[in-house]
Amino acid sequence: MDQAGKSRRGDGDRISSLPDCLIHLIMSFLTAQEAVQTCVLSKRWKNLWTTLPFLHFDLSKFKSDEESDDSESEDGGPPDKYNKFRDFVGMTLLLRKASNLHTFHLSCPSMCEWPEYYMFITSWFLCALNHNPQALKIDCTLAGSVPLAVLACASLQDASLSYFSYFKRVPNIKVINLPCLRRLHLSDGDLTHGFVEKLFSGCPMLEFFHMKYCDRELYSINSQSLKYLKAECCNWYKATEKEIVLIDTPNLLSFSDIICLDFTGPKLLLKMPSLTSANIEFERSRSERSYDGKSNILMGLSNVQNLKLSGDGIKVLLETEMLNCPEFSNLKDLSVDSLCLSCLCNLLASFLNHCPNLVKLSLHHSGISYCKRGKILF
Amino acid sequence: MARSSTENMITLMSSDGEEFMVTEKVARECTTIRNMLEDDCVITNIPLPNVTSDILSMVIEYCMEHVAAAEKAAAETAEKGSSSAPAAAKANKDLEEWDKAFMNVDVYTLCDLILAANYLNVSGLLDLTIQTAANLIKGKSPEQIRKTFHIQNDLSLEEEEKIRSQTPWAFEKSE
Repeated sequence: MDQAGKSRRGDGDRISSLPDCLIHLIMSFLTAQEAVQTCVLSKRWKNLWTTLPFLHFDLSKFKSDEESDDSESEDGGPPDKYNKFRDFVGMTLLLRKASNLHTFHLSCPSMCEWPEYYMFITSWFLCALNHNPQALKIDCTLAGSVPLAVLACASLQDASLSYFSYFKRVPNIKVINLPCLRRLHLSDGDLTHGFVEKLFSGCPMLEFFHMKYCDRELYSINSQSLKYLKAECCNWYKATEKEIVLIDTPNLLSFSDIICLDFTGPKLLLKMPSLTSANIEFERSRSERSYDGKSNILMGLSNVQNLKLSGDGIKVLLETEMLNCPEFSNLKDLSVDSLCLSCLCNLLASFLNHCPNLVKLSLHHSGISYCKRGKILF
Repeated sequence: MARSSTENMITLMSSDGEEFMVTEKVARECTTIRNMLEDDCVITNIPLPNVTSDILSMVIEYCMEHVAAAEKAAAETAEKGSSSAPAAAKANKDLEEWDKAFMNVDVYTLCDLILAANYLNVSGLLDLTIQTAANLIKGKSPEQIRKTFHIQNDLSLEEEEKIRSQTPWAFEKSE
């Protein structure tokens, strides 16, 4: 690290003279174990960890001196490392002296195979919630009691929850009140219609909503604050035959990785006038019902600058909505990915007539892509 | 970097009296200075009593590089309509490489840069220096950390043993 070229500046122990808040900031990039272990460096460092506002507990990065780290113990119980991790998290939370906790990350998905840990995990989660956390990241199943307090945590700004199906088991979540929440990441869980509706009305500041592996019904979304909506590997399918699904998000900028299954079922209305970028996969409806064309999918997307469409359902979509196709006057970059580009030829040609300012068109077919820039001649 | 003749120049003065002329745009990368300029827009000479000249010149070097990169990206977006993803990714990677090379400093300079980035409120530089310092701690034994940062161990052997015995749950070699 000591390099010639840059001037050598004095000597002595510069890092220990940094104020606590800056040392804590450095520790925020360490695991909780690495941070706590700095207590033996010198007197200055002895108690620094006790006021650390950033705690990252990660079982996969937890080091124990046991040889048989991840294997089950001889009596068929959980690995010894898990008990050491349990003791470590518990003691760290018990002995810290700060009243506030800025960041709490807990990752221990494999521990959840052992019911004896449920109570501990829930208690750590509750302990974190009692210390005004701003950022929470929980990566483990909470199969035990449900920490509903997370849905009414006034300080929370950034939350990431995995395996959160526990919300589903609560028949009536009465209140969701997260007044400061700006970013929400949910993965591996079920979202019911009622939960999503309450979620958006209870999170007036929510700007980023990212879902991953959350297969659920195509539900209505109504949010004034939402700017980025991303649904990775989530299949959205229709809820009931005659339902109208309204996605009303006046400030949405990006609508990405959306997979619409069976989009021909419900009447899908998109109200997103600020949208600049969309990436949607339309799957061909499995049922043979004809698409009634009452949805306004193209109308809802007509302000975008970048548009990526993929899936076999594009044909049905363009066929039914072409008659009422609005002008895509902002569209500069269009990408179409389909297994049957030749079936789309005429439809795409008509669609391009509605895109006067297109700069770039990319066509993708089973991994082979054709890209054309500049003036587009079809 | 493009510099129009009409652009305001600001003089920053280090604790040891050296003066640095920078464009207002570069100076505004420091949130502390930006706030001063917004409070008083005619200010042209800013004394920075907490930053020495060698550290200040590095902070300015960092800000200039990042302003230039942002200007280049903005110019490309304006030219081509939308920024092309591969070009943007390459520009990002180049800037990351530059940051990495910029962090090739001794630990004293690193700690002074942390203090300066915090005082001047240059969030990108603060993140970069803090992350660099954390990387120097990661995966090291206490003895190695002390050596890296020249930390004087003022704990007696007994005191260190006592701390370890009070927190056995935190250490790998526990009883």
